[in-house]
Amino acid sequence: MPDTWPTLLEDVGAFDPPDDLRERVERRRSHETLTAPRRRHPYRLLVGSIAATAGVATVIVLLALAAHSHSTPAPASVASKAEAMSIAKHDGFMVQPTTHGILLTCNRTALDFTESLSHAPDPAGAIVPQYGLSINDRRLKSTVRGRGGGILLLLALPSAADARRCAAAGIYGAQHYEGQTPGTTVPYRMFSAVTVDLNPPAGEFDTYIAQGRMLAVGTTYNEAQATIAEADLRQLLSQIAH
Amino acid sequence: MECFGGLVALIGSAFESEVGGIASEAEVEMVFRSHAGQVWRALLVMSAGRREIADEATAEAFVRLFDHRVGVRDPVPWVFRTAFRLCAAELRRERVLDPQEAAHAAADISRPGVLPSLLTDALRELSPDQRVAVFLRYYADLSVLEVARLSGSTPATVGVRLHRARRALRVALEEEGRYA
Repeated sequence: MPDTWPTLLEDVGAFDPPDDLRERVERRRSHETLTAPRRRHPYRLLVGSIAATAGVATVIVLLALAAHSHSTPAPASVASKAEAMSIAKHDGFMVQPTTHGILLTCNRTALDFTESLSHAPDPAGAIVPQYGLSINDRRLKSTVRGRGGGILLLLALPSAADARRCAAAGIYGAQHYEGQTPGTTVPYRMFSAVTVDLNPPAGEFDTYIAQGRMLAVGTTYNEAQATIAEADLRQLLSQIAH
Repeated sequence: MECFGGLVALIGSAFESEVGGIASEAEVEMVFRSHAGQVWRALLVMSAGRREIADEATAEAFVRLFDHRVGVRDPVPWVFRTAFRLCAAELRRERVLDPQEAAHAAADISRPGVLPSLLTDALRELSPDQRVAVFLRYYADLSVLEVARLSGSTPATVGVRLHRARRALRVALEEEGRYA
């Protein structure tokens, strides 16, 4: 049985904060001198000026994008974010938009999620979704501690080609985790054409479906959940991606 | 871990005032006693085993809770989010100003009291935000919604972070030959 995050993290419970933590709080509150002087943050002015500059730049870029969007219609065939949320809610799902900054990198052999960082450039070839939605089906609730609680994501990508490429990359990646022996792969089984069971027989199912510009991703932990996830995602895609 | 059942209850009811902040220092004291340990452990994981950062950020977060309690309607999520921000700021500061120190501290697994090496190695493959999501979801056994609330994020973002964390662990274990 491979290690998992729950088993790895069990040891954290053996660590305790320092005995004098409460005293440290009181010392700080009463402004007593600490044994180690606090460091100054000389970069704050720099960060502030950069932030101000970035704010102006952001406004300019947004205005430019707005003007561009008037002259160049977005690729058709997906519902807007508001429409997609409305559709999902109407179908009885709980739905939340993703925060800004989520990126995908999809090459021929793997799909990966990353987050845009303010202090570092985005990875080469990163795909910026137009919007992303988290879909919560109450039937996908947690069953066992640390296992369960299916996750469903819908992402509107810039093009249908991106969506197809990312779905194929997700499935290919799940099928080709390298094993200990060079040239071998970790065992898996195809639960369906779009869902890979990554950890048979315990069960860890990844689903990737592309339709139009939409990419649907599901992570579930048993066959029943995987079936529900596929059905949910296809139902939503049929309405959101035309 | 034992405190998180109470944490969920606290999030939902006891300290959530409809009309304002926390009335007394005694209530903050109660939050400290029941949750300071878990805040500290969360920061220990977030910093991949950096005790000094966990100590400082936990203490500072509770100082701010004591000082600003009147305006805090929901102290448990508030103190977690504040602690996470402080920890993230310190990690970012190290990367910007003291990259050598950050690399040295991150690589120093010989110091007593840091996390087991396998866990530390796995955590280093994640961003601090991803470590927080992993800790709250898989150690504290909170739902994605609760993780989002404590970390000041959205469920979708938490889902993405957990998805990536799971993959990172798989890759790390495969590299060590533990998965085949």
